[in-house]
Amino acid sequence: MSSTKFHKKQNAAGALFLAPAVLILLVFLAYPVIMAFITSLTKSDLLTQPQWVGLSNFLSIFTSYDFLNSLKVTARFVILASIPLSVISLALAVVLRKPFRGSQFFKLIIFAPVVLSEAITAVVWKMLLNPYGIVNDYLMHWGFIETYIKWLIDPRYALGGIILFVLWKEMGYFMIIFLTGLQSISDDYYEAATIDGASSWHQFFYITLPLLKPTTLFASIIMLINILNTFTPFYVMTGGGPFNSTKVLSMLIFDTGFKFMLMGKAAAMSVIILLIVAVLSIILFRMGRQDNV
Amino acid sequence: MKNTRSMLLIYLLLIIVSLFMLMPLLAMVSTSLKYEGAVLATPFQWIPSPVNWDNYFGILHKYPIMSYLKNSLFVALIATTSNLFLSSLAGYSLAKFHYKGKNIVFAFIIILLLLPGQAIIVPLFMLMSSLSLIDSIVAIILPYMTSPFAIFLMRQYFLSIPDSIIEAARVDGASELQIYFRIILPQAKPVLAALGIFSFMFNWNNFLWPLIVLNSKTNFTIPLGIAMMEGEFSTPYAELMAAATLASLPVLLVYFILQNNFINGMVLTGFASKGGDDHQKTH
Repeated sequence: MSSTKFHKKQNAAGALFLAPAVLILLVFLAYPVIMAFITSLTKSDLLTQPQWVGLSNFLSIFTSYDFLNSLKVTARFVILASIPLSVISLALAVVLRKPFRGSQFFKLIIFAPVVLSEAITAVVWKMLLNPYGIVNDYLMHWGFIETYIKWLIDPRYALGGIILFVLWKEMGYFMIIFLTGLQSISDDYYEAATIDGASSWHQFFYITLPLLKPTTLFASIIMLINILNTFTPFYVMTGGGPFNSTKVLSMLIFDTGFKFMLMGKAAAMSVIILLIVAVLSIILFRMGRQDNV
Repeated sequence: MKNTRSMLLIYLLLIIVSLFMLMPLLAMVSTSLKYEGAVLATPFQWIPSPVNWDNYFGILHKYPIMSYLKNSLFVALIATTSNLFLSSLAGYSLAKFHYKGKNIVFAFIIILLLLPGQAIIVPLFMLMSSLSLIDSIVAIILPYMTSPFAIFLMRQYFLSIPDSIIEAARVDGASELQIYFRIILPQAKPVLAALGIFSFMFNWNNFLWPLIVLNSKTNFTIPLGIAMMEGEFSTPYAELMAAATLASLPVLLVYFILQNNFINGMVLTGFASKGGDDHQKTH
């Protein structure tokens, strides 16, 4: 198309449409990212003038017990939460793929926790997981346990209690993501496989899983970012304790920055989270691309 | 007969999962109607006896719950309106106009898309503090007035709208802004509705950022207000559950009325992962 004066004017208007949004992204998203890097090289407490300290924040982080413990707890949380979360939500999606009597009702119930506030439902779960709460009450009643588990008070079980909450809260979300992916797989594959006498398990492993790969990739990136970002249930249910057993990176950053006002150190930790997410996202994208291209 | 048996198994599984999902909500409502002393009695009483309605009056009296709700509503409404307007405008610009630097801006937005929120919370706080916006509701709204994801979503959607409609309107002498308001926006109703629900719920439920920025109780949003009710005395569970019920029931009510529309809004994958070309499928 020839770029007449008329078109130039239109495109100038178009560029103007982009401006307000980009301005907000620059000020409240891009600038803070750059500032995170810069602040991570300073000693800063918001009260006095920041001091340039080079890489010493990073050095002190990587030699501190708190940070290394936090990395370990975060890794444990990511692995122990994401495996059951993906398996259960995929299983529910497979079961609910074809509409049947009551399927919409079950879908609505399973998704319901997603619409509620994380902070408010975490308060509810804190009550459920109280040593004298309903969870222990039923586990004992059904004979699964013989003595009360001190869910959020015992360092061996605290992370487990939070993972239980995360499963309850997020299962429905990933079920819907998998459902969307499953519904894009044509029924023809399954019909052909049924005629050939393939069992449901064979159909799942040879049709569903391979064709679901793009969805799985998308779901795992979202899950990774979500789980690494999880803060609220930790803050509400355990506050990072007992004995730092649930002090994930987000909790440590919060404490370092906003309890102890060590902004430089907190920024250095943020930079490390940023790098971890970047590296993991790239790995996931690569894995997803390999067979498709 | 194999089919009936596997169907039975599926129902059994779904009923167990549903009970797991419902149990906390039922326990919340039931506890909200108990006397404080009966909360942790074993075995758990699903139907409280005697029923105690005082928790609901008590919390309205003791905590500024109404101003928590008002603040949340204000934040969510302003941020959502702004997000819908600015992001659709930017998405339209990226989808339908040609100018220098457009691809760079788009790449920049894609990079921001994957940014974990944690990573910027410290510098964002420092920024708000240098703008003297700490403990103000404005600081809760500003960073969420648009989002890379919303812009990306709108762009994908607008790509599928044929250029000919826009050209026809130009020939008729409509200004660019008129075209956006009268032709483009009405076309985008389904995505705007979904994005509106997403954005409203995100801001309504947001916790970490208000926790960091707000100090005065009268400025608290509802999740913050309820989470903070905890620390003050020795965990008044019955009152807490009354507040939690008060905050959750309206949301659940709207959810059960809108059903799949609400789910589409909360997940948004139906729009985002499919790209622009086959957006028709989603409505």
